[in-house]
Amino acid sequence: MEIAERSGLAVLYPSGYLNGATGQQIEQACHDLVRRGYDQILINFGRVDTINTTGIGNLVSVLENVGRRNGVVCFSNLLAPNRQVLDVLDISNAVLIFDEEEQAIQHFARQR
Amino acid sequence: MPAGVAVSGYRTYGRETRPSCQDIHWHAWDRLSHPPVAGRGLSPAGDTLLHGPLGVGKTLFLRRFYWHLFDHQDAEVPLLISIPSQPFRPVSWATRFVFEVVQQWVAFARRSVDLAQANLLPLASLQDLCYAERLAPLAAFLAEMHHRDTLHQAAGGGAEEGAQLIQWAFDELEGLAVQKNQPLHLLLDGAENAHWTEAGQSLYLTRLVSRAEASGFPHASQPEQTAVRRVWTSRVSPQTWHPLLPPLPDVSNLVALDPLHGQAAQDFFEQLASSAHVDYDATVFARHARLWGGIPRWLANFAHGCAQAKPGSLILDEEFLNLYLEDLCNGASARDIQQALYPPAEALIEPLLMARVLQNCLMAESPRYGGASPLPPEEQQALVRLARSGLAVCEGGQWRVAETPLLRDALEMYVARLLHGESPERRRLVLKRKRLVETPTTGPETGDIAQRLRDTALLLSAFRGQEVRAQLFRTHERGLSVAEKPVPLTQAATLSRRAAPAHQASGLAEASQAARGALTQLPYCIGAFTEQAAGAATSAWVVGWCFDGTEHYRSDEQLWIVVLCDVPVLTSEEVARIERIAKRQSLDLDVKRTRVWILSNARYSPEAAERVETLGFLTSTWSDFQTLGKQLFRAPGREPAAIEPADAKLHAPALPSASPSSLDQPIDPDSVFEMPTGKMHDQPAPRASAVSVPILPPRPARIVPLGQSSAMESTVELRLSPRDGMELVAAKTIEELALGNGFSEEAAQQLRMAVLEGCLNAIESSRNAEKEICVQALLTDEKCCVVIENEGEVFDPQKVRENDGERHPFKRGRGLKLIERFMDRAVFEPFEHGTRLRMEKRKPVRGQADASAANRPGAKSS
Repeated sequence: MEIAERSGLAVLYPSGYLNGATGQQIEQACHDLVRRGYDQILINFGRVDTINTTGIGNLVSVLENVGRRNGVVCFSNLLAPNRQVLDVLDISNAVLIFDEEEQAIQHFARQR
Repeated sequence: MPAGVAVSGYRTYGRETRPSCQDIHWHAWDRLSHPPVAGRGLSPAGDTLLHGPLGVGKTLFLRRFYWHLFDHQDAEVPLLISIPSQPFRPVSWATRFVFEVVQQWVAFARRSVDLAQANLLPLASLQDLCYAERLAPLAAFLAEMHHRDTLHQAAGGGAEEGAQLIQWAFDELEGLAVQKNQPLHLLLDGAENAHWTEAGQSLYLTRLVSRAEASGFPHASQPEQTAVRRVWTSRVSPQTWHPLLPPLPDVSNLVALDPLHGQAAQDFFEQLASSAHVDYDATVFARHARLWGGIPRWLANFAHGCAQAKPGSLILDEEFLNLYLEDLCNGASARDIQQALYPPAEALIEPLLMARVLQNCLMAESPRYGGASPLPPEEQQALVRLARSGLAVCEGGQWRVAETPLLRDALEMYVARLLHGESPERRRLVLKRKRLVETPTTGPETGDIAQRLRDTALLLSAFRGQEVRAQLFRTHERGLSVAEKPVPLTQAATLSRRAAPAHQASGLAEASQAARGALTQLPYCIGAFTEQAAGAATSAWVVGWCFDGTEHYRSDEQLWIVVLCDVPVLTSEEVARIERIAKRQSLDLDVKRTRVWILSNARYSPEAAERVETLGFLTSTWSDFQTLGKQLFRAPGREPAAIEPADAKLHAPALPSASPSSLDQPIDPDSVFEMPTGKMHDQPAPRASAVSVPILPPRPARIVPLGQSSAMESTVELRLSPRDGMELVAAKTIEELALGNGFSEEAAQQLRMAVLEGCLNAIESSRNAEKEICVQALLTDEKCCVVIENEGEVFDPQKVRENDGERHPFKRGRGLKLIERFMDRAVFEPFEHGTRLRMEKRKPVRGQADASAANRPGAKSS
């Protein structure tokens, strides 16, 4: 999974099918990022075509764990069906979701 | 007549119906509203005293009765008067009393509920209303009284003036009652407060108490026809009325409103909890219910506390205990008690002293207090005041306190805080430790019932879809005397084949149906048993989610609720409770149709029998139940049963069908079969001659047809190994098929997600990697049907819902939610070796929003 830094923001690029295995990778990556001092993390789902509920469970864990350390996680570039899944499961209300990665970067830049 | 008047229950929890005082004190209600002696109105002759402890619901009861009189009769003028326990100036109260009485009279004359419920109207408005209703004497009286009141108040307005005002008011009211030929029906709340202490307790409100002589009512030929009837409420019963208390009203009817006991308290709480959407463990609650002493208001307070503090569910002992202690420290129960401890008049005695006196009563080794040695005057006085609050009673010159654990604990906390300056938190810990260490004793467990519950589950699971003789579900044997025994099943079967007089003689209600060969069908499919709960020591129930058709459509859904009652006589109260259980299960599981089957050896009271028959409940005795098992097990071709222990997977053997002529075969009573007791092996081999039960065709081992075929349909069947990632293969395949079949992109994506989640469930439930998961899809012009079948652990969606948010707060239940929202229909159907998920999605009409399914709130899987 590709990880990049953009304007002080850690950006993760998962791809393909987000299931339990991929979800755990994201969880681990976020954990490492927080330990390295990143408190703002963006997960770009532009390359993820399908998300299952196991993967969503991992994402919820990420939100919780990073939140406990006063960090922020946000999502971007979600495909329509994946966005609908998050809406149905009320995850959308618990996380900032941006249409594009640039919007997220600008948002955090304004906050600094 | 005005429309029915809504009177609030104990609390206003949401919009649901809640238990009312009328329901929980129905015996008292019947006595008041249907008096044995027919008088002019609805009330019994003479004065009535409703007595019961603090918080039992006397005031609400009286208010309800007031509105009952207001709505349902014209003969008597109902007047509701509250005598406050707080200090009040006699003249002011008397003035208010007169105003209230006149206002209620006018309201009754005008049939205006709003007017009766309004706060006190201005004098001018009230006078106008009196004139309009031709109550001119009342208008003149109001004006005169107002004038006098002003003078009295200027002069100080003591108790004597107040008593004179009441006397004068009553003369006027009685005169008007005689003139209008309408007796007054006074409902007086708080008899123990009806005295004014300034005058040394001598000036009791005597005119509120009935006089022995006749009232001069023109038609008072009957003794009950007096101008004023009264219903009092009091916390003090006449038996414990202390001489130092105000005079006892001259009552001829005593009606006790008792705290709720046992099952009644639990039922009451269940309704409150249901209204407040609190899910709780009945068995745990039963252990703690005794702490509240069955006082309805305290139970209601606690239910309210549950709803606020624990919106979800309340299962553990410790959760109950925490809430209970919280309520004692800060809740309404504590306020009730503290308010009762304050003296009604000026602070002659410290509340703390009263609390200590009470505590002495409670903590003393001897339950009695006083007696041989005279009490100090201040303590005696404190006890008298406490007696007025109903917290202490005097019996034979000795004082005692009602043994309510809640009261005991509250007093302990109260005294600890006020006397020793101890923090409530510390005392909470002490009490908590005490309660937790002193583990509440559980009620008498009936192992018999628990065992039979398992047997019932086994029977229904193993023999689903079969038809059995109706008389095996016998209704109540009406008309049999106590000495008579129920007709044996064998005899009933014989009788049922004869003419009508025979079965009439037998008293079998269903014999006539049986004579026509009526059959009752066991459900085709028993789903996971969603609940297996011991409701009380004497009863338990098991709920099966079933279908009465082979296609497992939602319209065929029904609940089988088998209730086992171990009581000697089954009364309408038990039947009402069973009804409530059924209704609640129906609501909780969202299944409209229910079938209730009562298993009990009890005799039915006539009312219960009538109710059971009206409701169409199936009723069987234990022996009927055993015979049912015998008949089912002895069907032709039936393999020896190999039923694993109750908690193990159930195997339903393949059963061939029987010819209809087999119905005429007699039932052989000489069977060696006994119902399984959790484990059963080596059943006797079936005998071809003992055919009595037609057996439906066996359920196919593989997927049953999906539905009607059409020329445009396309099907696909996939067999997947239960490995991670295989779900995506199935989901994408079906998505492609759906797109090719004219489904919109959004609908196809929703289909993909549902299949994905269904397959994930199947993979998770399949424990053996060698067992394949079978996914079958059928696409027609109108819809797409998908069946996902896996062998392994039976998946119970209800358990997932129950566990959701408790044990697996972030891991469970999401897939189910997605399936429910994205599909039009989804049914989890357990079969012999695993679980089958049937889903259906209709093709959205062009132009409609494809997301309709996702937005549909009622979408529900089973």
